[in-house]
Amino acid sequence: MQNKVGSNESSGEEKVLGVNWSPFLIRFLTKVLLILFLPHLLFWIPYWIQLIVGDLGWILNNSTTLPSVILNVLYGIFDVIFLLWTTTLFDYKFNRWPFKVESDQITFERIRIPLGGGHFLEGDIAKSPSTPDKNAPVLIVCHGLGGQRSDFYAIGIPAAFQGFAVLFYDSRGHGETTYGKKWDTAYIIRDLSRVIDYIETRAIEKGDLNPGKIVAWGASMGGGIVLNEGYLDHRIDFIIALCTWADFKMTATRPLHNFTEELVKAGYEFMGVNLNPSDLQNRMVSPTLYSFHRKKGWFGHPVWWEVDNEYRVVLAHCKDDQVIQYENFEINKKMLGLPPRNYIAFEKGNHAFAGVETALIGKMMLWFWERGY
Amino acid sequence: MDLMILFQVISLIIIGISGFFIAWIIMMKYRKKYHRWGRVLTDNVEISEINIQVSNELEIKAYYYLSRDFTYKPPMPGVLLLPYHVKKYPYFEHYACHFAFQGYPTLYIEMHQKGSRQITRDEWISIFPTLKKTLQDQVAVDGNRIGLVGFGLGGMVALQGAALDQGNEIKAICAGAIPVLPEETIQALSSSNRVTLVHSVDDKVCPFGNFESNRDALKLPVDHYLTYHFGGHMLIAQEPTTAAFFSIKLKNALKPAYRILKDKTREYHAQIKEGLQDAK
Repeated sequence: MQNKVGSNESSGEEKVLGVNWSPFLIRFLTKVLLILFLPHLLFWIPYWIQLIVGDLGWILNNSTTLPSVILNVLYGIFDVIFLLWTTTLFDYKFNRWPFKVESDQITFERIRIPLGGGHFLEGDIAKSPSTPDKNAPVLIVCHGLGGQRSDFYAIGIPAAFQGFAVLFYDSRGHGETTYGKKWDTAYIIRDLSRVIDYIETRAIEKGDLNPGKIVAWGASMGGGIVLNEGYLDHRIDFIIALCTWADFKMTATRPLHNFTEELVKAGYEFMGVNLNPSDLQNRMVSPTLYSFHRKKGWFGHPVWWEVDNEYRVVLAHCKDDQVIQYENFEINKKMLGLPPRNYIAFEKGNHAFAGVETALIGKMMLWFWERGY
Repeated sequence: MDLMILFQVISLIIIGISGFFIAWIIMMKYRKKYHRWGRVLTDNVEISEINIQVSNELEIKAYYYLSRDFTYKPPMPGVLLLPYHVKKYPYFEHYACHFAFQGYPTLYIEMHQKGSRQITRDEWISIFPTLKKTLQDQVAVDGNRIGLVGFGLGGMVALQGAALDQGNEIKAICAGAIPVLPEETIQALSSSNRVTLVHSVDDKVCPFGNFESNRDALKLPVDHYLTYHFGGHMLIAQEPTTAAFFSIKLKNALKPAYRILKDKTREYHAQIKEGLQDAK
């Protein structure tokens, strides 16, 4: 089922939302609805039994319905609290920033990255006083599935003080980009090349960006973007991939262990993402099957290539990640043959690196410095 | 059978579970804002505890951080971390790991004091040379290149301690959310190009005017300070940016020797291209 929910005034595109009604989602919703509403029905059972067999003492203030009504009201309050708890839990685990990173010393320039056909990705470029006016190295920041470019301001902006022009953009179907759909994962991945095209064009026109010094950074789906398209596109100098998948299907179809994991999966399916892709679909988005040890050929297709992975790829992951399990990190690390200085793993932090962001940024800056930035 | 007992039991269970969830929600909201940090659990860093005996009655606890990715041969510049005194160890471990990951042996001083014996600011300043020496004495540390990072009281101690310091080993002093500095500290550090400050406009403990006064008195150039619109005294949500800003200043001042990687594939293909051109 797909619902049209709005239109992009600039491109005339209609934004589309959809729900992937998978057996999992139906099971999950049934479970939640049972938790929320079944007790409301059960509270009337004593009243009904009493109607049939006679007085059982289910009475309050001379009313036989009042006890059931009170229980329904109490449980209704519990329902509200439960829903509030669910959203708070999600916010607590995956959204760590109560304030934006705003400073007079950080400037944001709104940009629109052309995709062709009159469609654009919305974005902005953040600069600090340390960012040179001409030929600034560029850090591209790719957000996660269902997210938006502002999700990683707190992580990306520190690089502006390192001298980078930090380019944040909303993938198709995300944030302010109204073109495309959230579940266009394969296209979302390929769009990174359009972002690099934009940097190259702007470098010629304005001269403020250095197309020879582009670093791609991504977390979760953003990590998938940089490990697939970023890895293949050798206009990118090196890539930083956080908490991302090695094999999409393996991750999406794994057995789930708790309510949070189920909630995350249900959330993605509510966005319309297909979490049970075919082998061919999986091959288009899984770096272990698509991009590793390859580069883009003449027609943009991956061809085998000798790639210096020690220079090109750095990884980070938390062992308690409930969205993309840690096993993915191990596979990526092993397949790329990365030495220990190219990755970092934290015992705790979940999918958002909660509580270890500062430490992670420290490591990230070392990776820049070791590569001459 | 009196079903009203059942009614009471069910009501209590619902109220109890609701209360439990409400408490959980409050805890999450509180922790998100006021208990944001804690242990940074990773194999990449080695932590050891050091007890610094200042006098017969006074012992300061410190924690020494080394990255496992570095050999420290030759020794690397050291960082002395003096965090806010309002939270106890390991609340600010994330800062210690930030600098340790960059190869700086980092000494995290526990500024939080338990019990009735509270160390005053003047005492901290008198203790400062001992803290600095403890860091310099570590095998992995190049004692001639020391950086200071401090917040709140720790920031004041770092700046005042550095101002009184006779040596020239302290190459950079980075401080966040500090009150107005005394005149003698200003005189000692003004125009030295060693000081970097960070402050939030909505700081209610040390109002923003404190920062403006320090910035002007110290004659800080524009790239030596950073101000945020939000974050308060604890620089909430600005921690990674603050640490990164400080580490850039530390790198410029301490000049650590990092290995520089080259993309071997690119170099190889560039050589081939060059060879082909020569052949032509």
